[in-house]
This record gives sequence, structure tokens and C-alpha cells, in this order.
Amino acid sequence: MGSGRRKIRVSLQTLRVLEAFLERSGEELSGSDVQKRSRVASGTLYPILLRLEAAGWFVSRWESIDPAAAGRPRRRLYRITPAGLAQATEVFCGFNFVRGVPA
Amino acid sequence: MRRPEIQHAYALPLRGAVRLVPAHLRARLQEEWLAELPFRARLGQALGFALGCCWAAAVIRVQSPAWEAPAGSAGAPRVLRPVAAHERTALARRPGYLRTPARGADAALCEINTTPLIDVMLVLLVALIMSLPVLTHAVKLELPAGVAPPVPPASVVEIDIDADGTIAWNGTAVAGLAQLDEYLHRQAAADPGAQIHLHPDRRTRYDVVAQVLAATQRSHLRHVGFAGTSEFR
Repeated sequence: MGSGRRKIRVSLQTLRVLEAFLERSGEELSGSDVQKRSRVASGTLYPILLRLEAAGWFVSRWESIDPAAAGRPRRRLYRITPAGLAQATEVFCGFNFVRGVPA
Repeated sequence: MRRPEIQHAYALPLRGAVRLVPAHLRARLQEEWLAELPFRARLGQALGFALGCCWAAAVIRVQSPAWEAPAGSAGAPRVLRPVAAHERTALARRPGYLRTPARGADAALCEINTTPLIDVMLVLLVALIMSLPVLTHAVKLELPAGVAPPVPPASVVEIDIDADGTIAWNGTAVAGLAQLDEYLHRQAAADPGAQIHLHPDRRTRYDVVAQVLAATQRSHLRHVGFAGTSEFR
């Protein structure tokens, strides 16, 4: 995925995804974790994750587990970058965001 | 975690959906989505996730060129070269010209390739059918319980007819048709389901055999048959 500063179209669903990451900015979240926190459907969530990753707001890596020992396949974990954190904060300030819903 | 067969059923549409996304994302998204599928505990959640991934694949297919284009070039207008008159004639002779008038790396897509969409739709249909509970149409019957009483075996009467017309009742000679009638009526009264096995000699006159058959009919015994007919063949 590419990186670099790029203007991102921020929708309400994008705000919810960003909010899920901003609650615990250092934490890595899988797709299902983000879906539980943001309540954004998978059909909308994954294009947002890939778009923000391409823009450099997120980085992702594979989960460091042994699939045979864990009994399940490894998941993709997403983490917000410092640049993404700064831009997301800027976006939220611009929206006057109050707990989940733009005011 | 879901049952493996259900999980496998929902993995089919996911594998079909990733065919929609650009090639460099296929392996990653397939592994990512298949890894997320077991975390959908309920049937509806897994189905919704699979359908959502199909939709996500279609969205990623449409939007990903804009994400991955170099910054500043996403909004650049495409300049189409006008087609000269002699080129139009040559192009028109090519098969499929009306569907794909331009080719090459810069060619614009003039139509949606519906083949992967149809693939995904069919895979979703199969997954939906496989996940449906088996419908059972049954009529509840209350069957009698217990063990049925044993059926007593039917009594068998062997009637031999010699060549000279002598009739034997279970090996004992009968004085005549009148006594045979009496024996038959007595047997019918004792056991209406008795079996009468006739053993006529091959040299016996048919008249005698016909009279014996008539006697059995008069006694209302229904199970009358010729036994040991191999000698007549």
C-alpha cells in the first residue's frame, strides 16, 4: 500500500472507525475488533481500512501467532500511525466531534 | 467458533469475492477475511460478514485505483486521442469493436465485467442453500407398542389321488367323495386357513381331479394347490 499525505474523504463511517482507534491509540485492532467498537459493517469497514492505510494513516501487520498452536488463522492487525493520529485529531476538531456523533 | 462445515460454506463466497479486488490485494484480503470469519459466532453474523466482504471487494475494486495513484494525479483529466477516419474503418472490422473500442494500458473500461459478479452471486446462493436447515416433512403416528402375538402356522392337508382314482387324506384312503366332503367340511370348520396340497398321479383321470377340486370349493377352503407338479413337465 502506498503512503504519504493524501486528502481523505471523511464520512461518518470513517469517523467511527477513527474513533475506535483513538480510544486506544497505541493498540492494534483486528477487523472484528474495529467492527465491534465502531459498529460499521464489514462491507464499509474494509474499504475504509485499506483507504486509510494507503493514505498512511494506518499501518497493518499479520498477527504473531502460530496458527497450528492457536487453532485459528492469523489475523491482520491495524494500528494508527502518529501522522494518522495527528490528522484524525485535526479532523475531529474540524467536525466538533462529540462522542460518536458529529455535533 | 462455528462448525467447520458452516465455516467452509461461508469461505466460498469470500474466496469468490477476493477475485474482484486488484491482484496484489487478493492473497492478503483472502487470508484476512478467512481469519476473521471464525470470530462470527452466530449464523447470521457469519452470513452478514460474508456478504459484507463481497460488497467490500466490489468497493475496493472500484476505489483502489484512486488510492494507489500518485498524489496529484488522481484528479488529472484523461486525454483521449481522436480516432482518425482510416482507423475507424480498421477498428470497425475487428470483432468485438463495439464492446471494446479501445485497448491498451490507457484504455477506459466501457463496460462492467459482470463475470466475477455472477460468480460471487452463485457462490453466495450455494452457501445460502448449504446453510439452510434441512426441512423435514413427517407425519406423527402413534404406533402400537408391545409384541404381536405369534401367528399359528396353518395346517396342511395332503390329498393324494392314485392312478385308479383312489383318494388318500394325509396318507389314509378315503372311501369316496362323500367322505372326502365330510373331511373337508370338518377341516374348514376347524381351520378355515388350512392349506390343501393335491398330489394327483400323472395317470389319474382329470374327472376325478375335477371332482376333488369341486369338493374343496364346496367346503370354502381357499388355499388349494397342486404340489409336486414337476412330474407333469
